[in-house]
Amino acid sequence: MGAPNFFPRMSALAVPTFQDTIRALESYWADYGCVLMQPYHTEVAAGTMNPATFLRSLGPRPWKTAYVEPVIRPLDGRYGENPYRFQHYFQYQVVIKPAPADVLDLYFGSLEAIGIDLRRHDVRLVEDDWEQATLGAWGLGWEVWCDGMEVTQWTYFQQLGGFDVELVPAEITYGLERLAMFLQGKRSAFELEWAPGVTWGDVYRENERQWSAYNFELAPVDVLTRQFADFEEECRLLLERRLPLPAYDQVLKCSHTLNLLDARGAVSATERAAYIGRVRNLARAVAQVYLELEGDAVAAT
Amino acid sequence: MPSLLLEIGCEELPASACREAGAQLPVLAEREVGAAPTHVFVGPRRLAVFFEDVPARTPDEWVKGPPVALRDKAATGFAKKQGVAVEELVERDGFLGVERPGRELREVLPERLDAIVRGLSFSKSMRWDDSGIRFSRPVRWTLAKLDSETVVGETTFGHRFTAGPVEIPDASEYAEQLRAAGVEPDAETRRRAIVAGLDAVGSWSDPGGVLEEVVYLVESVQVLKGSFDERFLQLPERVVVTAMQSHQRYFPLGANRFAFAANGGEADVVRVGNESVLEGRLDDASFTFERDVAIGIDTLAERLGAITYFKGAGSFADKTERLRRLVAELGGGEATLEAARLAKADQAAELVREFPDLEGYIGGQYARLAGYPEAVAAAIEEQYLPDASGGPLPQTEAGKVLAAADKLDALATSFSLGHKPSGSRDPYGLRRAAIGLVRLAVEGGLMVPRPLLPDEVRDFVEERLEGLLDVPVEFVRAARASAAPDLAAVARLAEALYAERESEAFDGVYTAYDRAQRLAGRAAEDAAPELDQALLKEEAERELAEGLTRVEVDGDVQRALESGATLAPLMERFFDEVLVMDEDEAVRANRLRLLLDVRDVLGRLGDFSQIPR
Repeated sequence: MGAPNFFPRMSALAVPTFQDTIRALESYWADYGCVLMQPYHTEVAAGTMNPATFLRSLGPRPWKTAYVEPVIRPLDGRYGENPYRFQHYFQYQVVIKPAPADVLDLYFGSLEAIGIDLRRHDVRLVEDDWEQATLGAWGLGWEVWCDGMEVTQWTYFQQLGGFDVELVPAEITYGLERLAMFLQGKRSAFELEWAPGVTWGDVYRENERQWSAYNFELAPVDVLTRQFADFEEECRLLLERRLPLPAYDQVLKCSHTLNLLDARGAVSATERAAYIGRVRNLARAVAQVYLELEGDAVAAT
Repeated sequence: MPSLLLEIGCEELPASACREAGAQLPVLAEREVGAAPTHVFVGPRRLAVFFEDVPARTPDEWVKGPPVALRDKAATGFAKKQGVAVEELVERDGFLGVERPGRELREVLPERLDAIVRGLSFSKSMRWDDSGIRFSRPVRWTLAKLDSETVVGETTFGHRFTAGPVEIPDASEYAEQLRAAGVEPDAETRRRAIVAGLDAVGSWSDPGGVLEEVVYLVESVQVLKGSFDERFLQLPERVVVTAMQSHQRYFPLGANRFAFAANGGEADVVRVGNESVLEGRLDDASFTFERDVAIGIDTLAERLGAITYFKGAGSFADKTERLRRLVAELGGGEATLEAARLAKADQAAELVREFPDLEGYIGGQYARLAGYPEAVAAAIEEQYLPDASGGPLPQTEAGKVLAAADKLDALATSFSLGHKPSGSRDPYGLRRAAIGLVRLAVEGGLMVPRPLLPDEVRDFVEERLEGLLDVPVEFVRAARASAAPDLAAVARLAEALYAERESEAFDGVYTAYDRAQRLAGRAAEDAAPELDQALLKEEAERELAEGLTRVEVDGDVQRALESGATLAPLMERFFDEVLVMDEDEAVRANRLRLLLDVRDVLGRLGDFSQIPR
């Protein structure tokens, strides 16, 4: 079993902009050997849902990746009025599979790399068990506090798509806005400096207002309801053709459609549970075919 | 004898896992080491046991095998299983076996420590590598020191960010060395340090009981205080306290001040950071609160159809309908009915989604802000009371009725879905609900008609009386079988029967009931369906039948007992002069009926056969 590292004191960096922080994380994890991916092209409610995490965490092949993910959560929008809640914000996602024994130290190293002096601040790991019903997934881990601010969700995956993971991955999900609020000493995400002279609010506040209007007032319920069924059907057809990657996109589309219907207040609790069950079944079926193909691929090499 | 220190180094364990490990370690360690530990250290990053004296060798063992008589058949298999040659088997008391001499403790410690790691079990556990070990969080190092000798591992580790590897020169110096490296390994010492730190910064409170968790959230105790902008004091007080406690595990100091325990860092930096986080939370809570208020409690109530109360028990709108019916049956007035209509509205409030503990309380606030009368708001606020054993009851009449209706519905729906508490398992808190209901009736003076409770629920609820009343259970059981119309009446009857147990009247009723029950109780199927006056031939039985019609047992218990006792001399004469088992079948059946009527009339005062004499 490995030993925790000892961190030397670092000199304080100048206040980093939002994009500085992203660049520092990119560079830290690239240096570690992660494949730097880009955001996924279909709406996801968490970086976990990007296939670079969900699918790559399954199966016997090691994998290291890091990427920014815009997360889309229609229900959380507040028309740009509440500086703590958004229907669109950013996570920085890192997956290391299998998790090395010093993975926590690697993570703490990343905090130092973005300018957090671990000896000046109170950095703590507070129990947070993660579960994602729509993906049939769970893991154990923590929320990481910096002086009481939750800046990261940390999870050792145990099951995805209802399947036990073969190599236990560590998933590190930084909440970029909160992290930047901590680093910049700002109370509001709108006030975060994104680039010199440009705030997060300049870039995204209007986006929040317009999308909140769409999510809560205008998204067409009947169309969405039909689409959900279409995506579900397409997923099944694709799985019959043993194409789990495009099939997985249909799972994501189902999930996002459900979230929109939810924001429109169009699903009762019972219906919602039934919808979630349908998405979970798809996710499981995708994971199964994905694992079969992975098994074949590994056997072939 | 040597001293021994065993340490399991982990990534941060949850408080619940620390408590589970703390409970198991003494037994597990004693089983593996052969001596009781002197001290158990439990914290988020390490579990350790220290033994002042341990046997330097493990005891000699005798592994008993097959009887000597079965040598030909079984010896080879047994020897193979034990990993020895057949010739090495030894005879003792007619059996074959293997003598295993004890081993040096230092030799077995690696496997014993491993067995302790594997032997700890957690309600939630994980794996992190291919070792096959399941633990609450990954185990990253182990250390065993036998006096000054390092038997397993190399060093321990100090505070995560301010200290590196820490040499332990001798098992007995474990705690001391860690303290020098910024770690307090002993949970009790940490608790005392936190409490002392809190005492030093002011008059603190902990309504949410977070202290027990905080003890396991830090390895190094630094209690700090902070404050927030006074404008947040405009929020309802419990919103502020809940924001402090539920997410942040802070301790309110009153007004706009709070305290918290940090695990390190520079005090000023850490304080400012935490103040900023709390203000953010309060700011967010203000947004949410104002949004809920703008929507209004009536509109929130209209949204309850979309929120499930309980799988199989419909939505909160369905629950609201049931509450209104129950409130009406419990005699609730206009205000209570209105409160019932709005009682669950806050389940649709964003603030309750954020802070579930605020349910009820915040509904009351929203009702006030919407201009509802105080009686309505107070009832909504009090609907979950009493919420702890011995906790306060609702103060208002409407609150009592609504609280009773809420518990009644929870019990009835849970039981109808088959969710009954069994043993210590009571995931839906039904015992607490039942005790609450009984207390509302007995202490709160609320009339809860017994027929309102489905049979199973009534039994379950009335069983709670047995523990709640200061009366032997036999009297409670007797009273439960009575015709008392409501829960409080059952309690009063049980108390009255117990108080009267030595009186002449009680004795008269008891004897009459007892004789009637003894003779007729088992022959009930032979009794006539109804008493036939024409078949009453003897003077004594006519007198008893007539006496029975004069008995009045409903109402004041003492008068009822006196009235019932008038049957005693009549019963005595009846048994002296009348032969119940007459040869005429009709007469016999009629006399049995008469006795059963006596029993049933007196039985309205209770089942006296429950009370031993």
